[in-house]
Amino acid sequence: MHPSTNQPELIEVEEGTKIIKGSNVIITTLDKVVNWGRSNSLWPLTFGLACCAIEMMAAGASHLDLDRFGILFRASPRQADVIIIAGTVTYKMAPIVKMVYDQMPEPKYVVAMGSCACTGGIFNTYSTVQGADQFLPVDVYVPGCPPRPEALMYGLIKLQEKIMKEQGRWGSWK
Amino acid sequence: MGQLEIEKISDTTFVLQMGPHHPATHGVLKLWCEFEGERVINIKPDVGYLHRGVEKLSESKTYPGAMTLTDRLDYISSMTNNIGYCLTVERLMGIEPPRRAKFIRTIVSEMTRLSSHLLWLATHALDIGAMTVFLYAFREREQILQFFEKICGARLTVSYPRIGGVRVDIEKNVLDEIDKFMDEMLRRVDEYETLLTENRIWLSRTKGVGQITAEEAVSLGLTGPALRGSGVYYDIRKLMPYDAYPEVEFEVPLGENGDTYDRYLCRIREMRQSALIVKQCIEKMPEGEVLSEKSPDIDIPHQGKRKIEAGDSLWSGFIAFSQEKHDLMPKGEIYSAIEAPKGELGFYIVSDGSGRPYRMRVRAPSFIHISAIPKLCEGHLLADVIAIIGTLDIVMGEADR
Amino acid sequence: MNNLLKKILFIDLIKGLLITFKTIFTTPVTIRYPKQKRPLEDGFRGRHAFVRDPETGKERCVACTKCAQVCPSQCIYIDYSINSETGARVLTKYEIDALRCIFCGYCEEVCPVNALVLTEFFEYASYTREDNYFNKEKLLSNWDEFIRQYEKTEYLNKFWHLPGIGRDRLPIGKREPKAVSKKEESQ
Repeated sequence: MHPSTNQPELIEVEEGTKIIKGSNVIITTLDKVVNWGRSNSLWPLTFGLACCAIEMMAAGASHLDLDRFGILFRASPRQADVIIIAGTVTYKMAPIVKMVYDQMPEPKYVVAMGSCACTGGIFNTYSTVQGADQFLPVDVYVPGCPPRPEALMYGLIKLQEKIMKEQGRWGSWK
Repeated sequence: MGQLEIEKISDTTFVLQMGPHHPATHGVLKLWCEFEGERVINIKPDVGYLHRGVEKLSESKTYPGAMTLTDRLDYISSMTNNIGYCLTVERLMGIEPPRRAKFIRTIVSEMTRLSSHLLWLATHALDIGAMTVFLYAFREREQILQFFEKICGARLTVSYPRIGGVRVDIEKNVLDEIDKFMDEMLRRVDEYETLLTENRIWLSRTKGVGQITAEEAVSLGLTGPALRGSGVYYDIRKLMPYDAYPEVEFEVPLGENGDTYDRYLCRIREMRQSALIVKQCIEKMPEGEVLSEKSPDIDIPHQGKRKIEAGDSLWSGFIAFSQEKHDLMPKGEIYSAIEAPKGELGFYIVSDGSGRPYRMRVRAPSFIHISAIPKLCEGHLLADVIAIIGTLDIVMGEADR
Repeated sequence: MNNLLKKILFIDLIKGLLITFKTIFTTPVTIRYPKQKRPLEDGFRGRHAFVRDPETGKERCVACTKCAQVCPSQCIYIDYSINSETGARVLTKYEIDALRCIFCGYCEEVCPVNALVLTEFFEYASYTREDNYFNKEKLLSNWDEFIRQYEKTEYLNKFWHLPGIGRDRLPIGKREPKAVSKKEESQ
């Protein structure tokens, strides 16, 4: 099979992924490999603020095992990829949330879970931040008060889909 | 870990700031700890990281609207919060809920006690190092939440009770399922006991840790299982009965030494009693309506529910309300308390006669339990601080409000 | 003596390990979520929708603004005009901020004509805030989306009929609510 004379036959197995016929070689873009790796090992930070943290724990417990998606809770921000803002962010807590977020290594993602983290919810008061997106770049908003564990999982699946669409977010020029 | 700073004060002691983002502080509690070696000299709790202004906010909501805020106080046991609030408003208005509603309330509040104690057991055991109990306890908790979803359509923030009764009736087949589940629950509690009660690691982590005498516990204002672990007989369900508690038989488990292990045993025995109370209630369940005739509408607060006629304007009640009339509710102030899973949960309401509470104050057990942490931790090791936070069963939503 | 023997023979730990060992042979409780879904209970309070009336094909709302009054989190915004000929109210704006909603279900309970409903649908996480800010058209399309995947032929929400409360103490529309049938919906 000389490259100049006859082209190797390529079979497209899915969009952007090709396999060379008769060999074990798979051709795809580097973006896709990186994104595939990232989206299937999202490690969220164990960061509970209020009510939604209980549903986040329920999502990680026996009935709906989050480990099936490769999502393992880490207690240290240095090891985490995604921060789930689970609960009300108050003005006293907001600088700490920001500090924890800043300690996370790139690339990092934010999931706002529940009404309080999305917009402030019912707590339209003097002490509550009206939505985590006022100081963090939120990727996915999960509505519900609190959302079911399945709804959180759906949100994380949406985040995985978003990561799969990313382009060139790796290397030193990200 | 958010503000983990270690600084030296003198040659012999050092300061460790634990929290507010720490997996073992059960929420956003911050502890300023001073150690000598690994022994605690001084601890100062710092609260307020989850202060959402619930008390102030409730002054701008109607009486039924403020009930949705009580869901979010102690989010692990929202059913008992709602019942405590509704009971206070009922006593203010002089309404008696129907008998069936009383039994339903007793069933759901005991199921809440079960789910709250299960979550406490799961996290407390996980902090101390027993991972299996976490998975087992969440398995049963999920089933209880499934029942709540069947009853009222939500899992955690239920808004199920109503001033003067409950929102919707529980169907017969759901009651049968709950009855069957309680038999299973009793077996499961035995399982947890086999895993923990005699386990040597559990014993050495909990026995003699956070010991407190009965006098000290009373003077610190502890309530609930934290007080009963020291052997003080104080249970509002027995002493000031509400709902259907006078009609059911149950024991109040008491501890002897007042340490973490005794409080653990108290809660485990309480779970058994809760399951038995639910079974008794289902057996004695009367028929009838679930909402009192005098209960206020959720949209328009006024004394007594009107009979709605065919040609009645939708606005008649709202006009009375929007004019800030001061004869919608009885004037006065009231305090009433219930036995929540964490301890005595009291609501103090001042009414000026309008459709909104003039002032609402919550006596939250968690807030008072936090004040006992420095006393309990005296002379203990750093690792025991985790066990002591766990044994007090703190929920920050309730403490900071 | 007995206790010492128990301690030497690790009886306490072996008892616990037997329970974990027994659990291997029980059926797993884990639900494999995206493939296998737990059936939602009747009356679960999920995404908001406007019921599309099978007879008229429009919403049922009469702009009484009761839902906006009762909403504890104040996330419903209504505007209406009055038809000068008939004197009836015409709904011009109806918006719900679903991200501010706390899903207490008060709105569907006070609605005298059963127009608003919190459907048994929870998969609506979004990338932006605007996606979950529902206007009238979005609320109707939410209903279409929900009823398409609804399994039973007729839909009757639990909070439309409120079991256990005296019949004459409910608004007329709540006394005998009609179930919305799916068949007519598709026509």
